Amino acid sequence: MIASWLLVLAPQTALETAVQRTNAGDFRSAWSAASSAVDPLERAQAKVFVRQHAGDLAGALDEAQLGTRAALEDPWLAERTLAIAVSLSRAKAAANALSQLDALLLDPNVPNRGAYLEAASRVRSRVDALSTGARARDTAESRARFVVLGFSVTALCALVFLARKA
Amino acid sequence: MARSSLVLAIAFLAGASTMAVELAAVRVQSPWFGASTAVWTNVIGVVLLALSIGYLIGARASRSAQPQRALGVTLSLSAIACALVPVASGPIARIFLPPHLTLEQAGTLTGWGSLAASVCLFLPAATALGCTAPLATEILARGGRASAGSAGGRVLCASTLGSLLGTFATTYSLVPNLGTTRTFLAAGIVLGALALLAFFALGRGSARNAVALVALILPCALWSVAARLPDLTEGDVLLASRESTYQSVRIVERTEDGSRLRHLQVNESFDSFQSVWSERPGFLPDGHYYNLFAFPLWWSRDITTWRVGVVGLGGGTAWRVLDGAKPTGVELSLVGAEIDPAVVALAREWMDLSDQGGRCRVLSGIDGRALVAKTHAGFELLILDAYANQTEIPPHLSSVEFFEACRASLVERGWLVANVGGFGFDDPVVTSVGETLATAFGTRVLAVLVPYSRNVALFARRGSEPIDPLVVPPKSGVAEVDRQLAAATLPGLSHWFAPTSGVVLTDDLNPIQTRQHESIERAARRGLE
Repeated sequence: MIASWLLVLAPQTALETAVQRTNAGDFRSAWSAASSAVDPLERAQAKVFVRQHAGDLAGALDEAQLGTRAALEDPWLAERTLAIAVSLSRAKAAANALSQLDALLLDPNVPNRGAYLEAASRVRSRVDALSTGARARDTAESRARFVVLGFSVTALCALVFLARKA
Repeated sequence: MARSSLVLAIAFLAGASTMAVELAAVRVQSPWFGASTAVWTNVIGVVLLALSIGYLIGARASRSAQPQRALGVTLSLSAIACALVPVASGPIARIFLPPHLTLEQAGTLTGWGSLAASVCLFLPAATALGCTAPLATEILARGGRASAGSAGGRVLCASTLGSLLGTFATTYSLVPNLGTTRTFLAAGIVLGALALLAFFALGRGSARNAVALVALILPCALWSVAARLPDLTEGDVLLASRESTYQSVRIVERTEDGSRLRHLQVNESFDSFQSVWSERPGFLPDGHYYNLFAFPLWWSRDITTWRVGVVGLGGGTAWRVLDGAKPTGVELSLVGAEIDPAVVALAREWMDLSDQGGRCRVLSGIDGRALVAKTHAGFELLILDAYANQTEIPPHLSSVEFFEACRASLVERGWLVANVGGFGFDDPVVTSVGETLATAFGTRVLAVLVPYSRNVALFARRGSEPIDPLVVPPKSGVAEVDRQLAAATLPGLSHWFAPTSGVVLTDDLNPIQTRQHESIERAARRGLE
């Protein structure tokens, strides 16, 4: 929906061409159009759009993060990075993208701010769950390593002690 | 019964129980950590170390005045420990494995987690069981005035024969018929009974008999208790489950966008599945690699009759997709090999797997390599979708020799499509299998990233190359087909693997499991970025 607003706002651009060709299922020429965009932000947006709609989520996230690094002030790119990172269950990328989007939306003059706020709010609990899950996973691994290490040392001592006594 | 025979009988049954514990140990962990080679290694390692410790404890206890009492106590303790394993397995697994992880999130945690859980769950029982051999040897040596060597040899013989019985009985009878929980409880009952025997028949009755009674009663009391299993994903409904000779199998159903989907899952599953059923045959929703199995039917429209072989039929998803997504006028016949009969039985009941009026032949309990080996120039399309233990491509189904047999089983210009779980074209598994396949076929192999998925489909042809997906194919006239085929035209979503004179996977040297481990670790690291 946000992509279609972009189209409404923009005149005939490489982005628009890429979106149209993507929607027509012609990904190859859509990619050519995206790659030919002169403006770095537009190019990044178009590449993310094409990759995401072709199902290459990892590639889309890479493009989004590249674009984000080049054009930090763009809420569309931040929102896409957030959505794709959530789809891929990438906890850190999602948390970073959400922080960035939140920061950008502090400006009340951001176009379509309401839609971006809604998009951020929709995935906020999921981002929290991903972060919590990642922490729980790390804690569980540390716990497991600790138990294994403790057991190994104890077993070794027990073997030495018992071998001498037996 | 002579005293020595009784002691040997105890050693025999304790040996059988040891193997029952060891083999069922993997099964009790499999719903949480899987049954990968790493999990097997962890369980075996822990059991062996526990047995070593148990041997030394038993050796020390054998110097007591009444080793038969010590034997009764250790048997009682092992019975109690066995009985508690199924009850404790869920809570302990939860300590080392948070719920609802994806495969790449789990990453190395399955290895460390299963090792730690093995220590907590199996160490007590295996240590206690390890005590029995030296104690039995001592009792035999004292009672019959036999030499230590003679007594030890007889006990080891009885114990090893018992282990042999326990191995076969556990795999082929106990787990499939009783289930994992009751296999542990059955071992507990046997050990509890042996403890009583040790106290009464070998020694004199004492207060310790109460311990043996508890050891016997506890597993009986827990007989109807079910082990805790991982929570289902929200929205999933469990339809059926079964313990097969190979794995824990279950069918779950969920509704997505108003349509019902059934997934056949095995063992830990995480967010993976072995087969999918949808109400309508044909293409599945985006993200399912099965859709790409139908591509050759559209790429080679000149072929109107397709004999299709499937290695790793599972619940028959490939068949349902092909049957519903084939071009008009195309005729299909299929033969599929599925090694696990329980999978086939569940699929017949819940996933509409049938012989389709003779068009679909299911070889249940047959290894995929046998299907390929006995077919010469018989298939227009061969689908490889064989996985063991959820994520492992079996080495014998990923070697250059196997792929050469696959090539021989195809007609000229026939297609092979392989599903490979991997995270991109630089993934170690995808690269290894792709290069090995290209080398076996002597032509370049096309790899296509499955949209919205972490799978790659490999396409090879006998005697020619697959079509270049970057050349946009003519419209098929079927919107869904055009949409499915279109994604592969995006640069970066396809890749070519060429034959190599370098290292390929062979029957003799096949490090595919190491590659899979590397693949998961890389994905886990990427997930943290």
